[in-house]
Amino acid sequence: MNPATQSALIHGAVYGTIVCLAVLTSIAMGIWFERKFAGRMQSRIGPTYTGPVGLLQPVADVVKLLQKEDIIPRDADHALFNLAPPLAAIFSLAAAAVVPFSAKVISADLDVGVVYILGVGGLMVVPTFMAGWSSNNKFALLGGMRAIAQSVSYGVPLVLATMVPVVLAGSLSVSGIVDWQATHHWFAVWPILPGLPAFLLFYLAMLAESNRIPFDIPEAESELVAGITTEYTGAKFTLFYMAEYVHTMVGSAVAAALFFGGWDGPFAPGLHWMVLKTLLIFVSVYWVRWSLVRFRSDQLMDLCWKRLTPLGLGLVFLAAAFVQYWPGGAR
Amino acid sequence: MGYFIDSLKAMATTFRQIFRKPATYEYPEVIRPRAERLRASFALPDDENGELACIACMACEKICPSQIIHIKSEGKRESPVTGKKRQYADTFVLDLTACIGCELCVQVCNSNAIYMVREQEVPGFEREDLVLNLERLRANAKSKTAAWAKGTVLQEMQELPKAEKKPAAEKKPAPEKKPAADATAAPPGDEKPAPEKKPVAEKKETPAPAAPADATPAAAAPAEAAPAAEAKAAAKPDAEAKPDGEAKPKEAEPAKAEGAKSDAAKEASA
Amino acid sequence: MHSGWLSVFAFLVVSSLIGFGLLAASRVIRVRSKSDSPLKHRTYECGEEPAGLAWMQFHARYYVVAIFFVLFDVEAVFLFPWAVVLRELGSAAFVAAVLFVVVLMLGWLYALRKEALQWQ
Repeated sequence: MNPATQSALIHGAVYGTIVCLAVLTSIAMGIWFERKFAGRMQSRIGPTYTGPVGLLQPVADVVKLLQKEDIIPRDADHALFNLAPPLAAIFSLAAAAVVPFSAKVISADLDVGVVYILGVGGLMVVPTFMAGWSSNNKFALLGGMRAIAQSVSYGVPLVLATMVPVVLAGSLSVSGIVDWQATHHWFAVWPILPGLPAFLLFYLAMLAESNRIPFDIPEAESELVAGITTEYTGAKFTLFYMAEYVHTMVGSAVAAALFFGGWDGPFAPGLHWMVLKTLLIFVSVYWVRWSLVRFRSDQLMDLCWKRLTPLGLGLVFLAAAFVQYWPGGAR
Repeated sequence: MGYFIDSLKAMATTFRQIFRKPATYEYPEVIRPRAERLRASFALPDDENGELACIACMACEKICPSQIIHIKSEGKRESPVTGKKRQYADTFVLDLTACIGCELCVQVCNSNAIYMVREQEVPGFEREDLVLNLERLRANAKSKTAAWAKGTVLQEMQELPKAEKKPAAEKKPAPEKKPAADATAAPPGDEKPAPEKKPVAEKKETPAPAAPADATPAAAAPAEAAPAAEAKAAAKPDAEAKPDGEAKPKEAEPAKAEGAKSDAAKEASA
Repeated sequence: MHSGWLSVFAFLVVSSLIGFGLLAASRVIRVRSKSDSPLKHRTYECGEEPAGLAWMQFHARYYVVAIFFVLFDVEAVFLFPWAVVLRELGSAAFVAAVLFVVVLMLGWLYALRKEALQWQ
């Protein structure tokens, strides 16, 4: 093993550990915050008994879930059933590998980072459908089918929205896009016409990809019990639950990097800015979650294929026109 | 587009909620204000001699719609305090899990030996935690505040108005007025009318035959009082025009009396 | 050149350790029931007897969605390299891409008129 390979592996492992643990810790705190936030939105107070102001609630939740008995349905496909939850956790974390948390804190600075993120994000369909199919449960199967239809459909607006910063910055590397924004403008601010709508498009598609309200049709607990997680207990359920939050958190980080200049910001070190932006987007997801109601299946598909897809294509060409014809757009 | 604007409105609404005071009361530490007539559990009080007031007459056990009261008594025996022979409830079990809070047991109790209290039982982990036995019921009488319907309040509310005395009141209003007023002032029930003005109202009606016996059935149905009061103005000339009719005055006159009574009650309460 | 992908590989190893590690941790601390009832391992169907297996035929509309996805994703694959080198290639590339997408959107319009995009 030559030294370059060795250092790349060590770099990836060390930063990977840091980033993974940071993401997991922040989603633990995020869950606590979400519960407090949702509580206050509904004139409640949220968790209070576990630790000071309920801060240890996520810890209590995870410990409780890990202690639960592991039940595998007799009719399930055991291998797929057991493999799906860890895969979901891995794929949801994997996208964080190329997100620059500061100018230096980046696990792997790929020159095709954006494509990698989209590819890994698309892989989330696999464990979802593995779980839905292998459970051999009708609710899980319906949930899995809906999840696939939804993720696959919203993959298209997601790709198109991601293409706007790529066109504007002329780079497929996430850190390259952030660098461009640091030297020019945040894309959500300027050029505002493809920039801000592209962010909103990305945000909507991200909500749909991570099955968040108002796009939580695959879970739809009022119709499908718990969707794909119907048959899962204990640690395996925890992994799915975790994967959902990680997906949202990493999606927020990507949105912050692509549209809000990532680690770029005055006064404070870059890491602070990146974390602040990521958390703000993350919180807004929960704000949406506790405010809106679920779409119907057909509304969801109409919105995606009839509205968002043409809109996304239009934004891409608006961005391309900006680069081509706006004075100073290409610099 | 409209959907997005509405979504933003919804999000603004939830955001505004954040700054409002939470509606939560953290129950064991903070007890929220209880409703005036809240009744939550039961208590078995002692009588004036310091003994259990319950004499195991089984009235509450019989009337309980959910059949959650079970009393056993080992017969009469001498009271250690007064020396008189009386009956004791030796076991008294009340299953609060099935109680519907109708308070009938309190109503039927003739010895004021059971009443409801305002404070709930502490939540338990097992069903048995909410089955009250004699000790817990007696402890409740000492530790918890009674609901509003303690003693014979409910029984007095349910009593029929003293209709038999009305003819007497008609003839000699002066002596009847006072005791009647006293009797009605005692219980807090506001349904009981104060018949002070009634003799006055009846005096005007002297030409009508108005057999005293006829007044009683209508008087015993106070539910008709309100519509009757409205009908008073119309009924009055009618009654005067046909002094000969037996049926008409019979209807109209008690109605008038009731109307006057309810008017009087309103004035008394005001 | 390849160092980025090696780091990604290391990252994936770390995240796999977290994923499988959580399962292993639960294997250590989780409760094991002493009595094992066959009912516990039955498929959940709201308390009813499960009626057959869930592995059955499914509605074709999901298939249509998959086809559309492939269509638009392949288009995105073509557009990504174009997006990166757009400023070097200039107006000709811009017009070419516009024409490409116009043709694609004609197909989209056809699908729209055929109500293939309708979720029925």
